[in-house]
Amino acid sequence: MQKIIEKKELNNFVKSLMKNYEVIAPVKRKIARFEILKNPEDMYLDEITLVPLKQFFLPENETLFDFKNNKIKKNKTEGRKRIVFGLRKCDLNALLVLDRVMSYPEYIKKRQNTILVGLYCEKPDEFCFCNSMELEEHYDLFFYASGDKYYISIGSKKGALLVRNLDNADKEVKKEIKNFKKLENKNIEKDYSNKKWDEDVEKCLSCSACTVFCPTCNCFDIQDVKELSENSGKRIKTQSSCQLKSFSEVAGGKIFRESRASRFKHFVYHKIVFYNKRFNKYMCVGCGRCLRACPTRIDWVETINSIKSKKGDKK
Amino acid sequence: MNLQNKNNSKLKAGIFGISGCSGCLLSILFEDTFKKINDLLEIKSFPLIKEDKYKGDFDIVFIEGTVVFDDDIIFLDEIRKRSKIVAALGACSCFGGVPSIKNFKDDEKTMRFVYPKHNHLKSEKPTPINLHIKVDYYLPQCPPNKEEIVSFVNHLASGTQFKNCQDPVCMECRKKGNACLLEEGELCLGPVSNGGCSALCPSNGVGCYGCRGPSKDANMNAYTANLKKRGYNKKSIKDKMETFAGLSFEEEMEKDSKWLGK
Ligand code: SF4
Ligand code: SF4
Ligand code: SF4
Ligand code: SF4
Ligand code: SF4
Repeated sequence: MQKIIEKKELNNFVKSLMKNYEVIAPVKRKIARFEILKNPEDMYLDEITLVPLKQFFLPENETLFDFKNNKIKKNKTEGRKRIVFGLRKCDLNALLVLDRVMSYPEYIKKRQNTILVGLYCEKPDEFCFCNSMELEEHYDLFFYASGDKYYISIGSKKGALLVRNLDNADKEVKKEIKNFKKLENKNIEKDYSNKKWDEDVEKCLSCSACTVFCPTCNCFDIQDVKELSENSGKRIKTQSSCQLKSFSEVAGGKIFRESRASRFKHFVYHKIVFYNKRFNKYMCVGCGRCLRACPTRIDWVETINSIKSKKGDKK
Repeated sequence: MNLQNKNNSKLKAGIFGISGCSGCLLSILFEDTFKKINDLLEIKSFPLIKEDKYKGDFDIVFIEGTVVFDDDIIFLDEIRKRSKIVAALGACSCFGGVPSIKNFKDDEKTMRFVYPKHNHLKSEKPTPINLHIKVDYYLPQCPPNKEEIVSFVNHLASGTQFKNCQDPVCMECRKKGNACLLEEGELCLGPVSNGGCSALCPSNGVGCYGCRGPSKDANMNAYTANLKKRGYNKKSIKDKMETFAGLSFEEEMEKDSKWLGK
């Protein structure tokens, strides 16, 4: 059964959650992003954030361990209880994508300590294509707006506890998201060398915006930061990107993905083909952030749509 | 290159400037940078703060400034012979810096404007130091990045490999979650410039000037085509590129034929 809350009561509800939890929610600075809420009034729920949630699970420059005088000190992840409010269906699925590949303790701990509250998308924009990506239902709570109320679906015990004091709904409100954009074909393996890709590659600046803002991109680099004079240092994990030459460079200077084409296509093929081969799920959740963020307006979804795959077309 | 001596004594260092503003040298003195590198290096010469009487050899010298006068070249040749490693410090030393804007202007006109009464003065072409001596390491930026200097010295002293950031400024800028200035109507060289500065300028609302030099991976054709769509002309883009590393940007642009054509 769904729970129900008046829209005008939402801020008070969130405020009450803030007593016991750190609440993370979308806010709008120059661009929309997730932040730890200081004030429920700051919440901005009108559009998908451009900056994804992932930094709260995969923080930049995360210290894996410190060392001093030849002794290693393991970094202890603080287990703060958090709630993320206002996640879109794509955002929620992005976490499932990360769960399959991120198995280090810092990540798992953060996942376990976080309650996920979703929000139905009233207004998908021209870049949203989540319906093409076979997404799952995954949430602790999920809010559907209807009239002056939210109808709240419960997905877990943790979620149920948060809304136990709210009224039961008199009816069930569920809605399907309506996308305008579509990824028409995901069977693109044989299209790797199609000439259509060249136009995108020619426009690509290898700036990495697509990967940094993609909620499922998780490639990283490990660096050791030394303070020799103090006999100390730390090992940190920082976000990297397949669009950069530095990412595939190994000792001796060999760069495995040297050409811009191989880097650009790797992004698309990892999302649609490679990950799928291993997990039978798509790595792309159709949020469209890569398209919104691209400074040269590359749209790989339309490129795929424009490739008419012919039978027996090997190249 | 492993320079650590057998008896574990500190590396002998010199910190010099040729034609420049001394800003880079000063940035070594600021905050705890000096303390941190002084712990690891035996600083034999640093004429900015102490009279230089040392006549011996160095393991490492840092050089700030642009080559403008014959004296600069004579000094560089001498110092190169005395040091195992030479590191170019700052945008001037690495790329020519602000003085090298002169290379792109009408020499005579500029001369007469700046020195209307000194007809006997001769104008020189400012150049980066690697056009005159071999340079082993680059510590670019205007002024140079203090953390990078400390990290470089740490690597040198422990015999591990130092590498500059090779990723474009955009990478660090996006990681910070900044709104892109290009989308806000501000000319930014981030996509074609080398990062390593934590996207200092865009993070403060100013478009990148490329003071860490052009990115070796820059897609100049796509970048300039995109800027033209946004309403910038070739001159405004060139002007921005010529601020700190014009000679290097010019070299990088020449590789992209389409850009030269239009
Ligand atoms: S955001 Fe666009 S230009 Fe930048 S790397 Fe991605 S596809 Fe290329
Ligand atoms: S590839 Fe693009 S659309 Fe797909 S999840 Fe990443 S950012 Fe979203
Ligand atoms: S991609 Fe789908 S779930 Fe994500 S914001 Fe757009 S409509 Fe909502
Ligand atoms: S502001 Fe400049 S550096 Fe930052 S993402 Fe935009 S173009 Fe790149
Ligand atoms: S943003 Fe550009 S101009 Fe500013 S410090 Fe970095 S490289 Fe230099």
